[in-house]
Amino acid sequence: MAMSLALLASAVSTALGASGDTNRFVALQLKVTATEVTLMQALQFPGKAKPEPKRQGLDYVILTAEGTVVSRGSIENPRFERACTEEQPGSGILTQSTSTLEEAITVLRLPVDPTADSIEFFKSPDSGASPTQAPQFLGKVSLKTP
Amino acid sequence: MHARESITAFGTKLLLAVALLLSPVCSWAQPPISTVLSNGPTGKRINIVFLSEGYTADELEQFRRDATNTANSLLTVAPFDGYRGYFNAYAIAVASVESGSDHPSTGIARNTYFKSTYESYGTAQLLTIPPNNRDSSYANGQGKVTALLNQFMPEWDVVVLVVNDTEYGGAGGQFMTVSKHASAPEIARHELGHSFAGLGDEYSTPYPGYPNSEEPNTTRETNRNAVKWKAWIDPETPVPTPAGSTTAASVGLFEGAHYNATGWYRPKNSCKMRTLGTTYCEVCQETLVKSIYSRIGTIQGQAPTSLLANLVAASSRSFQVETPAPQDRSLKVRWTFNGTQLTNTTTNLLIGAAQLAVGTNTIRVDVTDDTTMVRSDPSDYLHDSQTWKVVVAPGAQLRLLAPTLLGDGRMVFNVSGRAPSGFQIQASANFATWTNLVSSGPLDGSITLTNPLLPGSLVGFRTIATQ
Repeated sequence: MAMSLALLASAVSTALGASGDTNRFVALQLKVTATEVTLMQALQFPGKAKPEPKRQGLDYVILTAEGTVVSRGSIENPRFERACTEEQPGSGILTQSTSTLEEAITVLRLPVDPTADSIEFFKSPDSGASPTQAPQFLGKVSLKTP
Repeated sequence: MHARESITAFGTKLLLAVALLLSPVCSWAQPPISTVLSNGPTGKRINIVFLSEGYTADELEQFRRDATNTANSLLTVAPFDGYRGYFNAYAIAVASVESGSDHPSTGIARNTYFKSTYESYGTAQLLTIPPNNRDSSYANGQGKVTALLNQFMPEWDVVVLVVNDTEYGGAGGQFMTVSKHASAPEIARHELGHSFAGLGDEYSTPYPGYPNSEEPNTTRETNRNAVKWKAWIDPETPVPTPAGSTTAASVGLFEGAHYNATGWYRPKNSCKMRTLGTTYCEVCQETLVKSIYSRIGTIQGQAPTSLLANLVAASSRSFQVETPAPQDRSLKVRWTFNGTQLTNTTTNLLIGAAQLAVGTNTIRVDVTDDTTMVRSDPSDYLHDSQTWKVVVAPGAQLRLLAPTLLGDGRMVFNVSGRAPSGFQIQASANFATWTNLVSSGPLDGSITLTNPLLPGSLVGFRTIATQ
């Protein structure tokens, strides 16, 4: 015997998937020197941390508490400032102005991931470096909130 | 020494840092942010944020107009013009005490919110905010930008400071600057190639010590079949490609790129990443389009949001997918049902109850941008798919929707499902004793029944399949 039971109640309708955010991301404000990366502040926001294009400069690895790699990425090293300008205004011919800062600050935004425990930073290896050469470790930041 | 910080241990410093960074902007008589261009939720669009620099309180309306003009100047060039609907733009208006910007060599100093200055690092048109060679304090410039973004638009994607000065100038980086000179937006477009898509410089001015890593538009590879943009090189185009009138319109392998006159190559003789006043070449446009989709995708929402449904009785199911839309066309939508492609190419699909078989039914949608601006997409940025599973249990299964009470005391019942030998609708006043109301023959689908006038007050209804 098969039966279904219905009480005097309203049917539930299904609407198009709500755009209300259940996503959150963390913005890590990082101080970068030649030898270390340290955390200045970490703020969480509702919304989506959109992927950024891969860049040369600083590599990072996000790890679980057990040391398993969650994800990897890379950002430009903010210490190396490069600005493109015209050799002569209006000429269209470009050149660059460069400077190296002793320390610089940058913001890295990452999706909040409950499995992520920490993030480690490394100096990106030069393209001509040996694959067996260990990358230069610059720092580790905890991603766990109190 | 390795620095180890934890968010927990940083508690006090965190509060202080937040207070310092936010205190100048934490209270506003009126929020300074306004919308310049709105095409969708911030999480599903590329968000450009303009900030005012060197505009006094009386000039902030002009800033909003300047921000609008700058947004248009960025989004009216290919490939952005074809994807304008993928972008939002906002203006954060903060007042400076004085108009303009600093020009140190002429002794001009202006009291401005972000303390911008021309002539940074000895280059006349390099327009920057601190930290720079004149002011090393992050808090005086970029720190304020960060605080305002955190407060008003944390989901920023592109940040442009519009500097209220008509002298030509600008700069790139995480936060770009652009002056009000007519040609300044062209620098911003070039810098957007760097910051938005990771494009490299294609000019040859030496940059000693710059990393030797290739970008999407630069390479040291000379083997035609291994060049990363080989999909764009016609078979008759020589590789390497000599510059000249016959190759000016061709994509090939032109020597001179990545700050090197030799040994490095670029896709086209002329491109905005090499020379201002030209268009982005095809390879750079392709990279820009892929960068757009890498951020927001072709599927931005779906219904049902749950990808697995278990049914005790088959009933019609509706499926929908939300997609962005390029200018003047739509993305390609393809539905498959249990492995068979359907003729439906819209964003909505209805599967009738009779189509759903007992067991697992699979509904899949693929959404693709088939633009000719992209020929190589190994990461599949221009394509997304979504799959739903609908499991229908076997046997007699009936589903009774909540009945509708008519004004004369009768009730309308809607029953769906399967009952090969028929069924009855029963009612009860106490959930203990049930009375037959309506009998029906075999059912495979849905039916609406209206019963005769009912005696007494009833609180429960059920269906019983006839065996």
